Amino acid sequence: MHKSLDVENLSASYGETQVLENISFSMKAGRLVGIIGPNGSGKSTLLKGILGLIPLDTGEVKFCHEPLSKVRKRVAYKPQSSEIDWDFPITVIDTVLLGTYPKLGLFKRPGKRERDLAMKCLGKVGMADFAQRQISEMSGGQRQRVFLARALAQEAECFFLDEPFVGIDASSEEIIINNLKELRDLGKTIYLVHHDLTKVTSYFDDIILINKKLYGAGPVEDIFKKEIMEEAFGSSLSVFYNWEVKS
Amino acid sequence: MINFINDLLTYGFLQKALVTSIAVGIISGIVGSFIVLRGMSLMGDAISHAVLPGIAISYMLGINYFYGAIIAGVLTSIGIGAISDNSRIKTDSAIGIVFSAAFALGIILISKAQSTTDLTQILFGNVLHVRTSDMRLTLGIGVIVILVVSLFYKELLLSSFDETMAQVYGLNTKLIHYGIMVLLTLVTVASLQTVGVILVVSMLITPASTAYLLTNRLSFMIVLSSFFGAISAIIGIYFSYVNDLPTGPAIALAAAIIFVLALVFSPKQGVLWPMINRRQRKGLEGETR
Repeated sequence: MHKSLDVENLSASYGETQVLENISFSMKAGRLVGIIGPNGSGKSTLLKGILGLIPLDTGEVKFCHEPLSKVRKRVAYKPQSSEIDWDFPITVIDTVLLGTYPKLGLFKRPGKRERDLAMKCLGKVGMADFAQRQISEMSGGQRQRVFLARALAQEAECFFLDEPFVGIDASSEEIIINNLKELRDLGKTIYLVHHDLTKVTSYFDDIILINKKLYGAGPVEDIFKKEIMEEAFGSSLSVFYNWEVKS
Repeated sequence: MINFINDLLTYGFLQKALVTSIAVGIISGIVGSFIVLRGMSLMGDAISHAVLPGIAISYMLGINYFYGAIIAGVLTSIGIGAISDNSRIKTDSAIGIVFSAAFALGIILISKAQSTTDLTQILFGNVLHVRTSDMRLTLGIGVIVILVVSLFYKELLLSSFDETMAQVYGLNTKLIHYGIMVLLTLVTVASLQTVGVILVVSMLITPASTAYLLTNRLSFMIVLSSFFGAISAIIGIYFSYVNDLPTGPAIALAAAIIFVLALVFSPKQGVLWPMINRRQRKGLEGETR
């Protein structure tokens, strides 16, 4: 299977503090990948570093052997919910339509094809009935579904989702994970920042385990082991996950 | 009212004043919508003040103040960005430092170069003295603003709402930011005669905020905002002419009164309806008890 993402020696800092230290890994395409680590371990920073949203101290990132600049339009990103201005005057359907912008290019306006696509994507996440509503009227789970629909409308090859399961209801979570698995089965690669360890084995094919440094990257069964997890999480692991009960 | 309409039909200066102010209302309504949504109100205030040294130097060199103002506006926004990006100083402080310094420099330059009457005109506007060339400049700026915003509407919308997504797919968000700064400077130049540099910010922010309270769509917000801007201009000129009030402040107050009306009566965002609803609910609870 071909490589989807190669990260080499990625380091990043906020001011004086180093947040990521020499992270290197290489992941396969067509997988659902969880980025796992304790709070403040640099999960979101890693995502942003990969996507060129923050300056890196060192490091090189390749998507299918190409630099980001060559593959930008095949990459979809969903920021953390807290980074969005929910009072912005925009409806649900117009938010999803934003996903069609990268392929439209300058000066072209979204037309019927784009509107149909946006509606189809909204349907996939069960939000078609809310198309004309304003985004602030949506619940936490509905908001995440709208942004997943926007990512779907980008018709990307690689998806990067920052905490899509934070503050949402169980049925929204199920709709989202089913859509992601469907994407994976179509050969797309999905990276998602996640902090709920109880779902790791049922959700992901691969995981990237970090806490400032890389503790492992590869198939869940190879990385999600008590010894490796304890190394990354330290003594706080038991707070997140009761290993004895699960295994 | 009839007298005003009669005078409007008779006097060229009044027609020019009205056309120019309506144009300014529309332009600042459009640009103001983006300023308000991007949380750049303070930046709007800063740029409008900071064009002053540019205008002064243009006068000294004998060139059109348009060029000096644009250069000063862009330099100011770059200066603010440089300070807040490269030091621990937060953006609002950087804005305060740069624009007050630029404004002070402008006042000194103008008082050295010109008589003081010109300074008051620039600071507070004098719409009833609008020359045909000023009106043409304003209309020209209007055409540019409408053209730019309609051509790049998609990019402006996305970068205002979700800048990271815009960055990921390769939009140059820095360029868009400075593009908006240039538009802001253009609006300031257009508003000089009507409301003056000190009150430009009211035309930028107030009608756009009024519109923001009334709609959930950016496109309609821009239309509403321009409409409120134009209406404020007409009301302001009317009262200024009839009651002999300074025009800029009259327009700014008209805009503010419309805003207060929207704040109170807006069906979704207003403060009145939730209050009435609460009362009614309390009343109902009382009856059922």
